Amino acid sequence: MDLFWINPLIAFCCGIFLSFGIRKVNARIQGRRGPLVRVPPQWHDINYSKILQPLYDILKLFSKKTNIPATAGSLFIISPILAILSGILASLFVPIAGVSFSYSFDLVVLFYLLMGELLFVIIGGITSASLFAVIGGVREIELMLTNEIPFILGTFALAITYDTLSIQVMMGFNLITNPFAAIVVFLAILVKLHMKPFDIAEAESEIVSGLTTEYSGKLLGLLEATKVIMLFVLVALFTDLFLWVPSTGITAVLVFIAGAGVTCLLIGIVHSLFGRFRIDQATWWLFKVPLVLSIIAVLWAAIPRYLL
Amino acid sequence: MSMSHTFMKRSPWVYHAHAGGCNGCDLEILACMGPRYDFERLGIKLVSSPRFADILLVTGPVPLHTKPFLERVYAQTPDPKRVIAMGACGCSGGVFVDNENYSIAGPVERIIPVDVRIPGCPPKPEAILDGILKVMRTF
Ligand code: SF4
Repeated sequence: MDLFWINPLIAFCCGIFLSFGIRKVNARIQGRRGPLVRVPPQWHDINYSKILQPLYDILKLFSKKTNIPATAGSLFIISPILAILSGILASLFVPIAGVSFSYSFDLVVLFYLLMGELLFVIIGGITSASLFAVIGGVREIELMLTNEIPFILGTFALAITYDTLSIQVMMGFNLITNPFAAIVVFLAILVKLHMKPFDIAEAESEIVSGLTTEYSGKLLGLLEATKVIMLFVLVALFTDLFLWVPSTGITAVLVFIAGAGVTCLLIGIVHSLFGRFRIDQATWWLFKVPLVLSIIAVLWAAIPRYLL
Repeated sequence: MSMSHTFMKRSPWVYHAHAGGCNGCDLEILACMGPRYDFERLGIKLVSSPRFADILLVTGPVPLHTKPFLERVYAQTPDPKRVIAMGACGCSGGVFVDNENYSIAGPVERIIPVDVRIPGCPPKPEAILDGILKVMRTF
């Protein structure tokens, strides 16, 4: 039987733990405790352990009432559903411990699903007719435009090296084969996940969480679940492309978990060490650093292949 | 107790509604997020929009011109929700309480229903945490 059908489920469950991990790393670097792993006895009526905190958040949101603003259109309700659908579909195409729905050009499909998820969130936010959401949407689109080029060039550098568009074939410890591509893809993942230097589109203190301002209850729960799945999909993509050691069976699972843990730790550290860019600084920086690095990555892959 | 209430208790998201206080209370809320009293230990999160919130933390005596906004924020918070009135101002009007005061619309309980009051001017971070825990246990 094909195992890849349970990928979305794995993505959601592991995404919960990764999300908890990032919160914990963030808290520990700031000198706080973060969500407790063992809650002291006097609070046992509330909970015994907070490891599943992101799951509690999502379940709580699903048990709340949903307020829909009078100005919102019907896309306001439809687009979170479409967003989580693209997240679930994307998780089918990302190899989890070597298991995925793979065919010869699944990398391209994955690009469009990742982009589609962002687009649906943007459309849903903008149709709420809230000004904060519109500002967030504009910022999100600017970031997407500048970020998509380095991301695609960085992954295509690997495609050039391996002469394929299938993620399954590209998998390997490419951190050594093409370190520039690894840096570029890591930065692109930070932007896609709205981690700290690039969380301009959902800046809580200035534009009230941007695109999701008007969402509440079950729709917000869908968006949170999408975030969890996307976190896992992108972390898994980075692990597969750059930190994967070819193996099978239980070793594959261990290698995958180790890779995902390292990536999650790195993301958490970057998230807690940096402040937020302004939008013009971010777009300019994305043009200066990742774009140049991604061109170097492509040359690094192409020159040995075609000239030597 | 139903399932949904268990989850409400496990992940309370707090929205801080500032209704004309002097910023003393607001600074103490920030102290609750710091390393010493870190309320993320219990999954409590300070959110930026009332639409995400389960608990409204209202500080200040509610001046007349803030009253409609406070009512609107309360209406925007999805059910089930709870309200905490924080500080002497929130509980009773504090230093602003005076029959001749022309600019004050409340204490908070005159405008929206209040579940828990946290006295103090400003309350200590321990008191704030205790108040939030009390209101969590009412879910
Ligand atoms: S209770 Fe005291 S500290 Fe708090 S807002 Fe009122 S005057 Fe300021």
